Amino acid sequence: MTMTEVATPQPGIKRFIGIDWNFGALKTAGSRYWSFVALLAIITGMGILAWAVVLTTGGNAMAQRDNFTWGFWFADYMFYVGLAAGGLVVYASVHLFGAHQFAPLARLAVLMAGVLTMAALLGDLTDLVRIWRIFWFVVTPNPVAIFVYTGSAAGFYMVLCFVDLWVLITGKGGEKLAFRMTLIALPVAIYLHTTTAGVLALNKSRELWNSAVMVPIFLTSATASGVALLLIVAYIFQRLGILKFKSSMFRSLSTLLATVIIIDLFMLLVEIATVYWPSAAKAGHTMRFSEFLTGSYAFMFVPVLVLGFIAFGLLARRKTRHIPAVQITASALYVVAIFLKRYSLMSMGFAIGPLGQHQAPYFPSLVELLIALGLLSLGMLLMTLAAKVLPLEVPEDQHGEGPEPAHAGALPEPAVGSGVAL
Amino acid sequence: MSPDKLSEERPEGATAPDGTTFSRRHFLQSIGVCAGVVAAGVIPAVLTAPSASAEDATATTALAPAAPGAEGDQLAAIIKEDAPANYPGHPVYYADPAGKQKWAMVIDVKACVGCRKCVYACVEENNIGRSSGFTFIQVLEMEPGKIELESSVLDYAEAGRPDKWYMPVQCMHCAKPPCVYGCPVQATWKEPDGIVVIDYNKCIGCRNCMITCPYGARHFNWVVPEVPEAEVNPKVPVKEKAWTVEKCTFCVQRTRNGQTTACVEACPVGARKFGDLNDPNSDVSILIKTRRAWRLKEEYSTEPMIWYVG
Amino acid sequence: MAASTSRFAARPQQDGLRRYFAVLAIVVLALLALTPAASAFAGQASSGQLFFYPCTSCHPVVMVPGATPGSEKPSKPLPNGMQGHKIVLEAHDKLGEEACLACHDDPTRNPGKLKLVDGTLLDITGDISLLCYQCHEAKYKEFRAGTHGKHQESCTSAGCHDPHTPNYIYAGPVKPFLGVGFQFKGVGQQRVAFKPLMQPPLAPPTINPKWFLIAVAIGTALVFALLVGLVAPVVAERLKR
Repeated sequence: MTMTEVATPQPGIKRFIGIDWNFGALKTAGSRYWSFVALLAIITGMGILAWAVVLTTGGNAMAQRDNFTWGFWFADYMFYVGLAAGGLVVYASVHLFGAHQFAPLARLAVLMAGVLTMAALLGDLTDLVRIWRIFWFVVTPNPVAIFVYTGSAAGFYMVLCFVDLWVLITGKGGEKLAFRMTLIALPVAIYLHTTTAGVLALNKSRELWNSAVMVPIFLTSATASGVALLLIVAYIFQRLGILKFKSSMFRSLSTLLATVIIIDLFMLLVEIATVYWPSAAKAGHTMRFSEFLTGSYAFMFVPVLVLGFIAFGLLARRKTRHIPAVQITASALYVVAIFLKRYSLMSMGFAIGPLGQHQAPYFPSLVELLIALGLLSLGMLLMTLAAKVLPLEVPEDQHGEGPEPAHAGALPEPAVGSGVAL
Repeated sequence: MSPDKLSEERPEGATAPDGTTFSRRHFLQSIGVCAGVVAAGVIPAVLTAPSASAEDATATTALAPAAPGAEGDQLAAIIKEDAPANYPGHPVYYADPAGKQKWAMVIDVKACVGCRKCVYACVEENNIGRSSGFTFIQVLEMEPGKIELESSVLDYAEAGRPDKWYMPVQCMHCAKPPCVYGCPVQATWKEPDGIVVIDYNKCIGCRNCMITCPYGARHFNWVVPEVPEAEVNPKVPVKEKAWTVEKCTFCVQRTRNGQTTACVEACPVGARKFGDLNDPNSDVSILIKTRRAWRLKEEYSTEPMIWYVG
Repeated sequence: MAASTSRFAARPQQDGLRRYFAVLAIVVLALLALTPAASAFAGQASSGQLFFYPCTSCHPVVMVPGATPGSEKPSKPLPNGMQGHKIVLEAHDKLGEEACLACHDDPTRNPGKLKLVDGTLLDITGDISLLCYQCHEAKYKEFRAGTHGKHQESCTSAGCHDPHTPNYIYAGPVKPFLGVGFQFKGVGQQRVAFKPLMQPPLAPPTINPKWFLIAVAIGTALVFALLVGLVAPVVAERLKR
């Protein structure tokens, strides 16, 4: 594992594990960049402090209690895992479905997927007070417990994303290997979502979760929110001058987003109809769901439907779909809607407990909130650093169809500091 | 990340600009990484180890037999008669759980008046933290004419009401326990004699078992259990249960020694019966055969081992 | 305190007299207090013991000389029947005017004995479950099988049912976990609600350590300062345009 000075006229670029890391760009970064990094670092530091509180004080510092067994970290886990998959679906569609208009997004999408999955896993780990006991996962795993499968899937998926990113950047193995990685990555992403949904759905004890439609809803929510976030982040990176995309790509992304949003909303409506239809309604079920439509939890679930339909409405008109403001608004609305959906989904397991007792809505404690914010800012910090240091711009000759030459040479661009692919 | 693929410019064993050879630098880096990993594991462990005081030392060392006639005499007698079979934190094996018994409980909801004496006898017997926020047994005040949990009341202040009936709920020790199926590290399992137990040393505190339990019978120790020194039951762990899940164990420390459970003993109206289903003359066998017995959430096919008769 | 002791010390004779009267007053008051309680519980203490037994302790049977020497007969211990004891029957009052005679032998003969339908006399201190069996056969069989009650010897002696107020169940001297000992009724006939032991426990509150709150306050202040520093120039530029 060596770091070399690359024999090019570019100062500050070091090659490491085959990637040209542009540390010179960090040196030339302005004060605004560094104050943003400092801000994120402070929030991350507070998150680490909050985690230290959990480790020293125990679970007492969290707002979760017997009646609300899983809390904010679980909503975040589902949310981040979902966002991660969306990016990967976009990237996979490049190779699997020939959607080459998304090719410029490939590296950014995979990087985001890896960082988000890492944040999700860390959120899970920070919830355990005696975290060092997780070695039992490998020593005596329970083959019937779905938790084992989702945990291992998330870990494997994170590693896969980073390996995939390395393959994309270094160009090792060329188009063939990239294609094969897609063939592995997409099924793993679907497997990850199935198992995450299974953690909820495969519980006969929690009526609102125990539904087969949970798995496809997870998949569509994940894809929709992931694509929406990817769109927003791509716009941000373009605005900051790090990457450059064609507007047709964004339009294509918005079409994909609109399609997935409406499928997601449709399945949610099907679920609601099944709960309330007279010949299918069960008292315990309708009582629990009504907490979320008209009861004390309505404030978190009703916006899911409202924002979702507004987002779809914004994107539905073909004539206005190309306007960046429309795209960004719709994407932002939908990301928020999916976050609220994850939060209400987590609450659905506990709003009325297994012994029929009503619980007040749960709000995270200061410690939980800071851990979640810390993880979010850690992810953003990694993306911010990667924006300068990693070569995220996909060279032109990797956009089109057909097999790629094994050693593609791209001209280094001083402003963005992308590296030379081997 | 293998060096042989990438270091075309750096063959193995060559000297770097700073003078060290590749292999030595690699070795030092690996040492540093290992030290970091060890530190990352040890530091939180040291910081968060619960104060290992006399409370969680084994009873034989911490509690010396007191002078005859003194307060601690009774305690010493208990310790002596049960000497090596002490916990803490490990699965409890007293009498031989050879599976010849099949422990079950029957609760007579006609007799139950909701006095909660069983709840508190259980708290005392099982070293439940006095401020931990849960009890193993939860008594529900039910509306007459139906078994509807959504209209039940848990925190009733008046008991023995003639227009309600009372149903205590606790771990059912199901034959097909969803908690056992859901534990990712196999920290909970069903013993041959039917009791579902938890290994407090293994439990990672993920609380998945609490999610899967349809009876809300499992409880997480969000705080370290606080039990007054004078009320500690030496046969049951206290501090080891911090940040792990615990639940009713059919008083495994009693029932495997020929006694009955604390809740059965405490019930003043004899509404609780505990016994062996394999014995046709036990209370539970007779009641299930002769009375109209039913179980909670039968449709989930968890096959609970607590029947209700009314 | 010092003044009173000196007063007592100065007059020892009056001191002893005072003490005697105090003790006497206490004893009399205690006896008076017990009497209404006793009648309310209809003759049974909370430990299940019979309070008024044996009857002959208050109603001695003496030999009444008859007309001729040698024809002495025992006196009737309760010539006025059972009017003297103000016993309130609950549940068994359904047996009507002659409720007492359903179980007790004729008060003119031997009220300390209970009689079965076939005339057999049972001693009140013995196993009187056979009496209950006559009407409550199913319950008795369950009781014998051990599935009703807690494997006691008798329906009443262990402190479960008082036949005069059978729906009162005496809890006996068991140390409760929290709260005080209590008496409560069986389900079905409730006049006065009783308070169950405690409430379900409250979940422990969330506590944040002090150092953490201070660190968070400082961190939040820094974050806001940085945010302002980042955002202000952009806003200022926009405003200038």
